[in-house]
Amino acid sequence: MIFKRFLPLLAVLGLFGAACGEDDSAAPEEPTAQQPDPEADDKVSVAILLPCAINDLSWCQAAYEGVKQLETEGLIDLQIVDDAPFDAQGATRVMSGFAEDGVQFVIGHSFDYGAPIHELAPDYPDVMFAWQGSCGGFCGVEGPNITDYSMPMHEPAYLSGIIAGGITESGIIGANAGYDIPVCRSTMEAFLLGAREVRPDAERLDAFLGSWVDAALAKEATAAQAEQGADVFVACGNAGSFGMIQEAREQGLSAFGYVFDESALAPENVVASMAWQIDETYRRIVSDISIGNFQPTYNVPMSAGGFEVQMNPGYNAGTIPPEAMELFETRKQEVIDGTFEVPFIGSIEE
Amino acid sequence: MTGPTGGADVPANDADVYDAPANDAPANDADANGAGAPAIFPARDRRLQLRPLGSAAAAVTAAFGAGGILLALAGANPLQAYADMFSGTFGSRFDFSLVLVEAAPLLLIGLGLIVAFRARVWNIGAEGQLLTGALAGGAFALYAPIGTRAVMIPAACLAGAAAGGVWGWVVGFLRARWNVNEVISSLLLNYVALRGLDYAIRKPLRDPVGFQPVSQTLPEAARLPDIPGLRVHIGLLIGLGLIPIVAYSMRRTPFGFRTEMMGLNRDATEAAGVNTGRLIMGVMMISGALAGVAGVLQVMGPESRLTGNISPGFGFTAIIVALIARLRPTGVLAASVLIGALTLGGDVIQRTQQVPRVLTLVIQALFVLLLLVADKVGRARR
Amino acid sequence: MNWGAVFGAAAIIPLLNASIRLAVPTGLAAVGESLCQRAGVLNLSLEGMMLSGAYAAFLGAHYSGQPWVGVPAGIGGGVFIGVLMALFSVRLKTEQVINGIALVLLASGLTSFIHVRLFGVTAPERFDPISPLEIPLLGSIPGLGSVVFDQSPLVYLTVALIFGVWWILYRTRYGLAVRAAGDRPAAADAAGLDIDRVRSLAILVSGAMAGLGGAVLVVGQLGLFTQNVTAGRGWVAIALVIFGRWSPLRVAAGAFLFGFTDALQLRIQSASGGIESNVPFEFFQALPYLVTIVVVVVATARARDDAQPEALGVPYVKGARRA
Repeated sequence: MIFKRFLPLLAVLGLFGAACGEDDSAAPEEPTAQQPDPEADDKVSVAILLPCAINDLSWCQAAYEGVKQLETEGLIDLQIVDDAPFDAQGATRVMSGFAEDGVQFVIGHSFDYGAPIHELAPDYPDVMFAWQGSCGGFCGVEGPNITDYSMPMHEPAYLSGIIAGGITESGIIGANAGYDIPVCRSTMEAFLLGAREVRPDAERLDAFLGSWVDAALAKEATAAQAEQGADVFVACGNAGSFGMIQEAREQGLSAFGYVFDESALAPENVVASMAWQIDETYRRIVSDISIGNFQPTYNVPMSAGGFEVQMNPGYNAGTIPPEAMELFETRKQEVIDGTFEVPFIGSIEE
Repeated sequence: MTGPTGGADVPANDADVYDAPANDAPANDADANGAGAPAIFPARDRRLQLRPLGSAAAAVTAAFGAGGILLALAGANPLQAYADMFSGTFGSRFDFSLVLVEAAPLLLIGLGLIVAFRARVWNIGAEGQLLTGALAGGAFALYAPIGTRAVMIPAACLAGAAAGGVWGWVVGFLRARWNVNEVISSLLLNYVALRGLDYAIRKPLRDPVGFQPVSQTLPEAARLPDIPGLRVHIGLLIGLGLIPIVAYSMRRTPFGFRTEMMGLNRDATEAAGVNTGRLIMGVMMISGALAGVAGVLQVMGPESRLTGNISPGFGFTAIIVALIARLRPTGVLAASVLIGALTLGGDVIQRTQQVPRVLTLVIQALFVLLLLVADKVGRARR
Repeated sequence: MNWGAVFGAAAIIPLLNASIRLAVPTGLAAVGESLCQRAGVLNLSLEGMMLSGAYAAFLGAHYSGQPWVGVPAGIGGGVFIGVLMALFSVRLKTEQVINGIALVLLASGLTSFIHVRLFGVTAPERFDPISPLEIPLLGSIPGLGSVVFDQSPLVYLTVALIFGVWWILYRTRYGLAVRAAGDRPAAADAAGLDIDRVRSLAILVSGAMAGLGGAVLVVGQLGLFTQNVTAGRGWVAIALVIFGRWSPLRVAAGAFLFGFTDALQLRIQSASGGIESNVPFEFFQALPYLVTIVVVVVATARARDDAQPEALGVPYVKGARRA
């Protein structure tokens, strides 16, 4: 029977447990790493769930460096979970651990974390939760301790599109994305709208990979789009952007970096990167938490320094027509001034 | 049979059942008769019988040692990490609840898999069966105008079981009708199911007033309540209740008898007048149905809605669970809890010792590998 | 939709080239696995072997600055997982299926962990992948010339290895031993064959080829490593072994078919309007899997023999009682 089968194992585990128990009773006052430092009362204790690696040169690294910046500034005590589970059950498991430990602010850096946060938040009214939903005014945030922060990538995407419209000879843009989620769709649509300001006949070819990690498939998607005439590319997804940039490099075409400055991947082919300065978003939330003014949504657009179009100095600026560059600068100023609003086309119904 | 402990106790009566000599026959028989499908039962190994307990202890020590080295490399205190792992999983009712939540889907899927595996039908498609079950049951729960839990939850489970069962049946049908190897069809159908779910939540089932490609939150009537006193949804009880049922039907019913017989030798079973084609479809349908129920329970329980990420690979982990359990229903319970504890333990040391999650995966893998060795040498003595 | 962009005469050659690029990593792993399964070992660690190979290849290329160094390094990375697989599955004779799945988990965690440990959040310098090698004159033959004679040297290596495995399996003493170990281990043992050695070696060959498959992704295509870069190709490779009914050449053909369908679906997605397409793009994404299932059903329905090695997945224990 099963207990016999696992007997040696259980015995060892049991002994081990007993040993641990003694350990605990012998040194109950020994502080463990997660206990907040009593001297740092003014710091907000933060835990962040990143669904990928902290060195992915994109989605997770942007968030990682954002929270690290706040830690360096002495605003927060930080705990990081990289490669966090995507499923609600796994996310709930990880987040409830932090909530039980008394962490003040739990961040889930993916739209997948919206559902588990809504389930969990009512049980921990003293813990603030945030997830990257980009909901803005589109979907409800239910609960006084929940917030949603936006990723207004459509703004830099529109501006990048203007440059792309100037660069493209064929008028065909290639786009790949992991999945058809609002952040990706709004980026792709805004990019095309921007390009059409310069090239009214511009078209876009799309490929969805069904994966956030398959860089080699993204490379092939880019090759397929290049065969069909595309000569300037945009991607939504970390690995997707790597594959795209590598193919653009091999074929001598142009591509735009996703979320993070990716010009190092192809110093001559990356035109610019849509770089997310996410620290500003986190800084606002943390500051609001410490003064007890937690808001239901946070949106830090370009005008507030949330995003930037980082031009790659290595890219041959001669291929960008001056008119396109001029229009880019004008629109950029208008976006920053708030006189031009980039349309957000996030899902099918809109 | 009313609570989790009750479920664990009952099968003690089955000890004689599953340790019966007949049960070891497939292992010794498999390489001799070559009955078509791969046998995964390990044979009894006589070479390792020397000092088995010493070897088992060595393997367990190796597991802890290798994990400890990795933990130390990551800058953690290995002993403290192990202590945290233990106290963070079995230390409180709350922690243990999380273990059980993790174990619940593995238990259900694992029970289904052992039915198929005992017939030597290698269903690698539980993941896809889980997803189709979740999709169908979730869609039912979203749109069926049923207001009471007592009706809604069983009905949604049936919908999930039906869909998962059909997804499994396809595999069985291909095997029975054209002898298509079930490993390839079930594996590939996982991907098809995933794409189907992706589509469903992106278009037809998408929350109409929402934003992301996820469904609406399920209505209250379709949300699983917790087991009183625990923070575990009642879905666990279904798995626990099924343990004696599976054990009984495998042991005492004609169906179970035929299944075991086919696992030993399909040709002989056929010759004895059993319609093995129907039997293959049957075990695949049962296996798929249980995975489908696990899927819909995840949706009605921890997930609360349909999303593209309702399973972190339960269908594959459950294969490990079923095999660690050596295809015994009670063993599935123990193995599910073990895997659940390892998963939660990984989370715990991530928090207390800042161990990267990816490293906790490595440690889990090492534990599974080496505990298997320990179990094997420990067993060789008997 | 613009069908000419997908099926037009000008599109065929690039389509075939893309099929080859997509088929090579998976195909290498699948052909190696076919040898391993012929020896009776159901090696489910393939995805881990590929990933370990991909990462080792990255390290080799990164530290030497030479993408070519990544090739032997990648083979080594695959063999590393192979050694573990052989240790557990052949030497210690624990459950092959569990060992395989656990080793995938191990490789996934280990590569990600080491990558962050070594490079932190600073992106390691990328390198240029190995470039295609045009065979003089032949490569400029119009039409198929470029498909056959203007490929990455790794493609030629792959073709050589596929035929190499076929030759080993059917034309050498070791191949005979492999088939005996997979079909009738007890009889082969009685005839004096060391089953454990035959099987261990087959696992290592499988590791080498899967590692090379992972290396192709990194040093042959991408020029960098990203977490879980193999993205499930190892699992597809296992399906392809069954698809090819354990014959290396048929397995390779299956890999090509899969690569072809994947290349095709990307082109259809692009040409069909992507987001606006009437047919959901998820259907196109699923196409390689659906086509593989359909072909395998047709092929199996027509096949009269059961090609599966009879002792596949059964650990061999010398002198074990037979029923």
